[in-house]
Amino acid sequence: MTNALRSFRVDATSDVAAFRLWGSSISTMISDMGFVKTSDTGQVDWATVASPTTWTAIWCYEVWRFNDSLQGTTPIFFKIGYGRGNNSGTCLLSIECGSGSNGSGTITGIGTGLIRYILLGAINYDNSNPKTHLVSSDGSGLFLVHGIEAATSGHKGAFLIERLRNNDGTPNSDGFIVRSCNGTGSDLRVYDRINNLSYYATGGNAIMPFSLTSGQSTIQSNGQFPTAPVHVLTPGVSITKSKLILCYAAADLGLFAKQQVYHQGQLRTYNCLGTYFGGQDSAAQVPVSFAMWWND
Amino acid sequence: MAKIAWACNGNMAATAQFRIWGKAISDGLAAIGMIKTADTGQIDWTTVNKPAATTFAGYEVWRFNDSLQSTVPIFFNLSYGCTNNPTHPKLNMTVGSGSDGSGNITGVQINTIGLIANGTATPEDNSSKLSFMASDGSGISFIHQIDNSLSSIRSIFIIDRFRNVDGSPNNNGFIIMWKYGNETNMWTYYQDRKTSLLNHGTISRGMALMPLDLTAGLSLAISGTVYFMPYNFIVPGGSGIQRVKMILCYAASDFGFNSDQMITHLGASRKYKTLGTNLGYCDSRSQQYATAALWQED
Repeated sequence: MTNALRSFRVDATSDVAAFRLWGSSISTMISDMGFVKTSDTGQVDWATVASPTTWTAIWCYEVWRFNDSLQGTTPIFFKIGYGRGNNSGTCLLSIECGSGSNGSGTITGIGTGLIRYILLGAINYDNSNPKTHLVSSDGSGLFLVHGIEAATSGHKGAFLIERLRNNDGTPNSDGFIVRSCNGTGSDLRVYDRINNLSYYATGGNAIMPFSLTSGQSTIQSNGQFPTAPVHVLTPGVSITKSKLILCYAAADLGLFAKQQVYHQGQLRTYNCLGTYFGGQDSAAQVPVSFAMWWND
Repeated sequence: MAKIAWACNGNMAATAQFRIWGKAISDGLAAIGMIKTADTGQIDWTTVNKPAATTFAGYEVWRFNDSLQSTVPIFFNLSYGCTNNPTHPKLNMTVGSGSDGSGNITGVQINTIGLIANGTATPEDNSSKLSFMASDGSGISFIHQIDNSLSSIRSIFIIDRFRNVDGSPNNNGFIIMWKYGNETNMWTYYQDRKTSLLNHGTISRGMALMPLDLTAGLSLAISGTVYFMPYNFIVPGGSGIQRVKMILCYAASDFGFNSDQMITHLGASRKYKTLGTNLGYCDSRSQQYATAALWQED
């Protein structure tokens, strides 16, 4: 399976069944993409876990790892934290990436200790109606979008973990990137596995070569519109692009529109997120959204 | 295709200095192949007097002289004066598609671009400052007193016709970009002649990507190859991505001020002058250590 779209409620506290459904659904989405849950001790049991009683703290966690051919030489592990946000009923979702785990839930190696909070849920919102969540993976990258219809940025978010790519889109062992965003902005960290260094980029790493206003389309006279690749520069190593995400002007295609894009040497299908995500280019322009890789 | 460099005193305290400063710019434009029009009322550098603060002493009207000028004409008016500090030069520009013969720019217009900012009370010192100007006929790169200690005076501007993938100019329109040394904005105006979207897309940031958060010492070199990023543009309803030849963006730590580098851009190896930390905030994130390199020759 390379992609999935699921619908479930986002609720951390109003009832334990809802919290379990929320967390276990995210877990299932990751599992469905072929990622492997490690045997680290202390991981959440979705059948028995209680509702979070602390705010803005990781209540329980899972540790996952990649399962592609490069995992043996360039391992990527990540820890998903689940909990309760800043307000009653809201959720906390966090991610920490590294190159190993210690067997008891601690991420080790490069990237250790940097926890990104995808959701913090600062205010209460509609937690009684299901929201749509999307995930895609080609085995060497994982992109998960949470709560696409949530009206406030604290309740929707996304994260990307992706190996660096060759020009044809195949993954390599040079390193990986982690990108997190909360609906209105994003950051990107590059992990250089050759030199074991990391680099940071505030905001998106793509150029939308126009100063967009809300609702403005970039469609050209020939009917085409630009998509902007996310660049990844690793000093001394390479400059490459993400395969799993592209940026585009949200007005050009709406939510869930499937678009064929020629990227990294071939036509690939991307799923557009329309106006439900913004600020994704390097200038953080609100009308710039994501198109997420859906399949080749 | 020509380039010119000069050094002149940046202090406008006396008429003689004002004449030297302005005439050097005027001579530079002529040297790189621009044509001064026959508009009446243009400044006479042998008789003009230094103006008072915040006033202009006069103007010149120039035009391009390439093969596209007959179908997509570019005219510009340069006004020479002093900023709010009477020892600081001021240079304003209006760009359009014609002139009325008496100094007024007509047609498609970009009005009153201030190429030098109002400065502080600090008087200009009396040392010579470096300026550079170059053109391939279809674009101008101008680096004004780039070693001036006053950020408001050291500045760059380019006019560049939209370019094809091989660097040749096309008739889709043109772009103007300018900024002062430490100003966090990099101003961009462009005009698309195909769509009649005129003055469309005023952008306050440089539309080039520096794909990391830059620090003073962070090099973006990969195996000895330094990363330069182009400025590209698109106009809704237009003719696809439009390219710029006259300017590139790079990390300031990779090359210092006034280093000529051969850079492969738009299908050819071309010479650019790097500006190091004398300029900043040139990328789409407005990063201090994102600087520019301006075209010198092919």
